[in-house]
Parts: sequence; C-alpha cells; structure tokens
Amino acid sequence: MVKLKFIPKTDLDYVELYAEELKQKKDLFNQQRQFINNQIKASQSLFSNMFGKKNFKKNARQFLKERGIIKPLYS
Amino acid sequence: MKGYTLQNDTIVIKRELTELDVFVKDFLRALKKHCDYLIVSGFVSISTGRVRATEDIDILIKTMPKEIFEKLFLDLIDKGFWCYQGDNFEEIYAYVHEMQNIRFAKEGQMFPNMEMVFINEEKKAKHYEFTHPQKIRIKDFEFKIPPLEFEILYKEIILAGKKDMEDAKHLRVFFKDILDLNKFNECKKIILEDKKW
Repeated sequence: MVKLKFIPKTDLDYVELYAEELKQKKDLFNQQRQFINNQIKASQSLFSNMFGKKNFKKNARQFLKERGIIKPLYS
Repeated sequence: MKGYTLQNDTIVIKRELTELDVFVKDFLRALKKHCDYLIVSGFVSISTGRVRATEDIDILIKTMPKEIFEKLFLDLIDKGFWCYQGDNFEEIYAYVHEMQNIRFAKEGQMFPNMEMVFINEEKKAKHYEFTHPQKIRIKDFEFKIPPLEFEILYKEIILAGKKDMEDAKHLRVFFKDILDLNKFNECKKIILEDKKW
C-alpha cells in the first residue's frame, strides 16, 4: 500500500505528488518513456496516413498554414 | 533518494532515452557544429520526468550571419530534417533576420518539431539564461538548459498557463534539494525587469 504524503485535490497537487514519487521509484521513468514513445508513434502514423509519402511536405505545409502554425513572414 | 545526481555541476538522470530524447539528440548533433543553443520550456520538465504530451521543443539560438545559417540549414536537411517554412535557405534566412521562429521536423514526420527561437542581446532575460546554462545528462545525451531557478520563475511569472505552472511545480519539487534562494532572487530581478518592456 502506497503511503501518500498528502491527499491530492488539484492537478497541481498530483504533479507535486508524482514528482515526489519519481525521486523514489525509478520505474516511473519507464512508464513515462512508454507514454512518450507511444505518443510519437501515434502522431507519426496519423500524419503519414493523412499526407502520404509522395507529397508529405506540400500537404503538411498546407495543413500548417490553415491552422496558423506557418505564418507569412511579414504578417 | 533524489532521482538524479550532480556530477561536476552536471545534472545526471538515470533513465533510458525516449524517442523524443533521440530526436533532440540527432538535431543537436547537427546544430552544435554551427552555433550555440539552449533548450528551454516544456522539454526541460519532460526530460526530468514530467508526464505530459508535447509537440515542439523550443531552442534558443543567437541570430547569425547568412553564411553560417546556410551551412546550418543545409546540414540539417542533409541529416534528414525538413523546415516547416520552406526548402530554400535564402527565403528562410529572412525569418532569421526578422527574428521570427522557424521549425524543423524529421523527413516524413510532422511532430515532434524543433522550434528555433532567435535571440540577441537586446532580449535581456533570454540572453541571461543563454549565457548561464545548466548541463544535464541522460545516458550519453548531454544538453544545455537554463538555470533551474530561471526556468521555474519564467514559467510562473511570464508564461503562467496551466501547463507552465505544473511544469514549474514539477521542477520545484523534483529539484528541491539543489535550488538556490540567491539564484531565485537574481533571476527574478532579471525576469521582472525584462517583463516591464
């Protein structure tokens, strides 16, 4: 049974508790690694399906422009 | 137990590299041949254990002459990166000249991406963190981040969004044993002075 230093109520409390636990439990780093690697894999798969291989850059730039991530230089 | 050690002022974290670490490491390998840098913001917290998603890694770089940027740009392209803003370095240099951010991702991928933020000495706070780097090492991946006290305060005072406050809390708790009150005061002064402008 895990003994908590305090009962978390807010998101910030959970962040604090996790950071405290991270100092003691190295296994949490492995969980974090899994989370990050899965996120990257999912993103790669999503955009590769959306834009294809042949015109990836062209389609990606169009997508980014429409969302305001690529802005004209003198906007 | 602290979750990290300090070796000659370098923070060493014992964990395996993530795909995100490998991406940043590849990018820095090409970039470091041409210019200095500082990794800031979300990746600082994530690389030290914070669990949250991210799409971009912010990297501070000093503005540079066109001929150096040309070599850097071509080297990054050669190492398999593509630039969101375009394929022609002449066109992209206009962004550098105007100090507008540009982004690079791996060929055939959209995320993660490195967002280059150009700075000069007029940007006092950014110039301060750039010239007072903290080294951090995970396995054979070593990189530079701002002083922890600066990063925490910048997130709390300037950025101040929900995820920024959470990132700052993570750093405050995880690095509690090495945070320095005098450094906090020094950094706070610089950040508040910069905020006025």
